[in-house]
Order: sequence, then structure tokens, then C-alpha cells
Amino acid sequence: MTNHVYIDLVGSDGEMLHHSETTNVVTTVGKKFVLAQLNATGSSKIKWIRYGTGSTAPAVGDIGLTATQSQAGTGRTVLGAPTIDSTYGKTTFVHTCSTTSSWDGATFSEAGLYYATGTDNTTAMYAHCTFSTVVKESDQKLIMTWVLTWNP
Amino acid sequence: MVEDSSGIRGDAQITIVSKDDGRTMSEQHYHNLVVNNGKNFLANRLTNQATTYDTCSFYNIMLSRRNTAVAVTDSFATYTTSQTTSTMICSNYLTNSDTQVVSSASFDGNGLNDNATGKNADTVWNSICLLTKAAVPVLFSAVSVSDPSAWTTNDYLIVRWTVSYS
Repeated sequence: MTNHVYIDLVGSDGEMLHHSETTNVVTTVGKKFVLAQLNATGSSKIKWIRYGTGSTAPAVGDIGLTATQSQAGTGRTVLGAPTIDSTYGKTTFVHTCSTTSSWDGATFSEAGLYYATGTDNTTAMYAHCTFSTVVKESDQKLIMTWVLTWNP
Repeated sequence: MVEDSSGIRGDAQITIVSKDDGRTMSEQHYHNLVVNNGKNFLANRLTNQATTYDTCSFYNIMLSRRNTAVAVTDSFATYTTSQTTSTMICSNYLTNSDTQVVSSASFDGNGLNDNATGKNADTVWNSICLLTKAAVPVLFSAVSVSDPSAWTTNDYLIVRWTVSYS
């Protein structure tokens, strides 16, 4: 699976204040999770996101973010239902840190996708990415778009 | 934009073994065989908030008379328009050390009766499919056999399908 991440910071007037893109690293435990789903039934899903402030390059052996962003709470944030391109299985998650929210003033430079319940950082991280540091103010919203594409 | 080369892939090993003395009569390998429906199945299995695929996993290896090269747009229906037979997967596991699922099944050449023609093995079975269990089975991967005439009623056909994520 090739995953591509888009990070957009949008001002109150709709102006794009920041845009960056990056790929991520799928962790070893993440790959095992994917294949285990083919091998047995179960209800585990990729459906949580966590942000962080670390800048260490992601590696396949990662089990959590380098430095978690806890401004909006220490737990993970539940993602909404993704959109799935039913022909190719391309899956898109979008998460928005809204204006005037608990994310105001927060710094972001890394993120992870998770596939199992739990509140700690080091349980079930499927993918990890880092990106240019973004600070979200109260009149701005941060939009994180994570596209999962099967390859080859 | 930098894309990595990681991905899901299916590799099939098809071996024909003589019933008489256990000799390997032929062995064929096929690579990168995951069709679009397989990718879509996996995407839903892993991410859908609904439970459509929660009880689904690899379930069958199926033989088909279809003799056309496999395309990524193929589906279960593509292979069931021909006479088919299938068997439950004999083993199905995730290795402890790494990231692959191995599924295997064996077929007795003498038991591969084709209802349409009355023939057994030989030139009848031209394609092999890896299916997931669902109300309508989902085609995950398929191979078109290059030398089906090697199959006889005196042989066992053994299929070993490895799906990996690298």
C-alpha cells in the first residue's frame, strides 16, 4: 500500500496558508495487521489518527509517534468514514482540526494512523509520517488528507 | 512526489505431482496477481466503518475452464461463466516472523469432473482463483495456467499461494 498525505492550513477567508505533501512509512506491525485480516475474521479497522511534534524520520520499526501532541487530549482522534474508490480500493481519510477548537495554538509535525482501540501512543500504529511544522491558530483549520493506495 | 514501491502481491506456485511415485511432474510460478476486486476487498476490510466484510477472509481456491490471460479487472463472475470446481483452502496462516499469508490446496486429477463435457483433468482446467468468503465470493487473485495439458487423472495438483506485503 502506498500512502500519500496532504497537510493543508486554511485561513478564515479560505486562503491556503500552508500546503505540503509526504509519503509515509507503513510499520512492520501495520503490515502484519493487514495480512492478518486476510487470514482470519475480525473487526479491527484503521480508524484513528494521532498528531505529534516530533521530527525524527519514520522507520518501519516504529511503534508510536516520536512526541505526541496532547493539546486536544491524550487519546487518539476517531476518523470519520473514509471514501473508497470501489474499482481500485483507493481509500481516503480526511480529518479536520476546526477553527476555534481545542487544537488552537497547537504545533503539528508528525502523524500516525492506528488500527486498534487504546489510548496510549504505542499500540497498533499502522503508518507514520512527518512533515513541515504547522501551527494552527483559532481562525484557521488544519485539514489532513491521508490517501491509501494499493500497489503494484 | 515520491512514491514508494511497497505493496500487496500474490505469488502462486502450482505443482503437479504423480500419484504413482510422488514425482514432481511440473512446477510453475506466477507473480503479482492481485486484481482490482482484491484490492477493493482489502480496502473495505481494513477501513470501512460498516461490517460488510468483517467475517470474510481467504476461503477457497477454485479451478475454472476460462483460458484467457488474467486481467486486473477480472471478477468472480469472470471465472464462473465457465464450469468450475473448488476446494477449501487446506492451510492458511500468517507467519510469526514476517508479513505473509500462505494458502494451499490440493486437487485430485481424477476428481476434477467437468459437468459440461464429462472429462476429467487434462486440458479442461485453465485458470486458478484465490477467493475470499462472502455472500458472493470476491476474486482476490487469479492465474492462467500456461500448460494445462500437463494435468492428468493420475496426478495431484497442488496450489500454494503466498500473499505478502513488502
